[in-house]
Amino acid sequence: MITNTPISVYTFLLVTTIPFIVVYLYILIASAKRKRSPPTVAEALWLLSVAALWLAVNVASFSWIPGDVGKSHGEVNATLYVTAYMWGFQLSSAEVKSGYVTFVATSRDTMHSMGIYDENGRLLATVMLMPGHKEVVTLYLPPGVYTLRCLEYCGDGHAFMMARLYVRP
Amino acid sequence: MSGLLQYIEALSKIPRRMFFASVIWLFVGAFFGPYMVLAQLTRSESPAEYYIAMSLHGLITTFPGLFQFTASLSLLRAGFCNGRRTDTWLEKLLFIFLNLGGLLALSAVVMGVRTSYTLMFPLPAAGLGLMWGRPELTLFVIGVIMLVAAIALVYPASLARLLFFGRSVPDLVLEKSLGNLSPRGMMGMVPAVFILPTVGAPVLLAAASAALFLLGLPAIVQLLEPVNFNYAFWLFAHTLMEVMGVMALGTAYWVISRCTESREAVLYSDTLGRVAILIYTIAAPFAFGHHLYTMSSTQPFGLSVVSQIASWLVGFGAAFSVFNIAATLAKYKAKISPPLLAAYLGFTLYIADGFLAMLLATIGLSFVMHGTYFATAHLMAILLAVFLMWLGDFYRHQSLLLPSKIGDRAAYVHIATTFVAAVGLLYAFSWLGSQSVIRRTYPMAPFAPTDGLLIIAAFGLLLAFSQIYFLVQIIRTVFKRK
Repeated sequence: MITNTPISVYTFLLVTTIPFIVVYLYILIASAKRKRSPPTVAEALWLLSVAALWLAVNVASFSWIPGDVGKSHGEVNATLYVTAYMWGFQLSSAEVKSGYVTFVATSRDTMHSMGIYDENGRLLATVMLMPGHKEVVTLYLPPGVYTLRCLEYCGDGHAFMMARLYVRP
Repeated sequence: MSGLLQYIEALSKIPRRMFFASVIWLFVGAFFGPYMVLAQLTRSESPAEYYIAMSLHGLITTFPGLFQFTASLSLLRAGFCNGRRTDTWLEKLLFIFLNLGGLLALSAVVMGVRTSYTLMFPLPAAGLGLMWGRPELTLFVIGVIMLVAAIALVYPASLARLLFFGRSVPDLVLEKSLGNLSPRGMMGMVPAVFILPTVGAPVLLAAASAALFLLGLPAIVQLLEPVNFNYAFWLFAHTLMEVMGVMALGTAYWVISRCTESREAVLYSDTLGRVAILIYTIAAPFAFGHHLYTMSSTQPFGLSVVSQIASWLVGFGAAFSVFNIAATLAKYKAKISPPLLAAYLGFTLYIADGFLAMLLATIGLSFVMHGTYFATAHLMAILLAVFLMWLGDFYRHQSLLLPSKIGDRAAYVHIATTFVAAVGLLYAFSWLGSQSVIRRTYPMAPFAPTDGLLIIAAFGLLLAFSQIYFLVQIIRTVFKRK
């Protein structure tokens, strides 16, 4: 089943779309070559299966939100205050203890975002930042070096907007 | 005979101008696509040069390019299906606003304003004092006002006149529409008439306020507050894409039903088609909140849930269409032709992209995919899918737009290469997204795989070849006539 990691989302995309494209192209070719009888039972089956899939995945997906957006499943070890600006991040501390860490982030000037990357370059979570508003997200962070990056285009220095966060055991 | 020719000229003159203008904009805008990929590979440009190219690519291809392309073909079809002229002041104003607005915005970019594809950066007037001067920002905002006014007011008014009002000239009815509320008639265009003015009004007011503010005049400053503008903007921008999608879907119904061996233009089920368009139309405006899941301090979780369900309901409408079109071709033998192939392949791409869109519109996944190339894959694919479906319309009516016809063989080459390139870009961009690579950055993040960029370059060049080939064919039709 799909999980909320980027690579599994891509796998899900491949598994769903490639068979669709192949079958749909086959339908066109088959239709051009010969006349076929109209589907009747297929209509009901198709619509029922779409409805079942829609319901199952849609409802299940609500549990995939990282850290339940701002809620932790254990004691929060540290609260980190982050201010984004053109083009950098100001952190209340560059080092925190491993465990649940709550990020409280805002923007000083224009629209930015705060993407939290692990050492392997995997995006753990991203939040959009607006001046005057604070976004809160809590994540479980094992020891390591994490990188904060901006994911919303914010001008010429956008690519260089980053900060390191050291999580010690 | 000369009377009929005069009528046809009255019907096709402005749409033809719009069509040629859109083709020019599309080519200029599209040029910057491969340019950006090559810049990423060679690292030969400065960030400023790259972001100017990015701004031009997004601004030009989307608004005066693709929107004008769809508007020209939709006005032409609505005109001749209802027997009404398309050369009134409304169509002339639409032509002027789209092209002059595009030129002003382009000039502002050349003068230094650099925007994201969605115009969200700069936020209204946010660039003032940060990066840009008042003159270029004022120019940019006035250009945006013209573009939004064209899309949200003038175009719906023109379409409303063609569909519902005014004198119908029997000689001008070149092909029956099968009614404005038939899915294989004009039903797909109706949402544009009713929805675009409603969702466009707040953005238009915000843009007008930004212009007044820049000119030092009293303005509704609350609309310029970034969060307020963000909501107004996404309600408009998202719904606009959905409306363009519904229109393209209506076009696919229209074209495919006319490309079978059945003597009447029929679908497997008109009711299913009607339900699909209704679900789309009702669900689409409620889905806009999926752009703002990751801004949960300003967006209540309840609205996020509503938006996810609405986004998925749009997919449910698409599922009806998938069945209806497949069943139509199962029941009535298809007659393969360029219009059918373009509309069908465009629809196939549209649905494949729909899977990706539903993933992005899922709250939990948005927190790990938003802002990556996964979102770029969606934007690229939906625009190319809409382009392909409308190409079906173009190839069916090309005799009204071009001096002579593009041959079937050339049309097949154009359609097939566009489709292959679009599918390749969909998977290549989403692969980069799955590697958490940030979109709209130059240079790319150090962990971005070079292989992904090379694949994008290959498919991007194929897409460029395909459209240059299309342009050559259009130019050839002019010389063929002589």
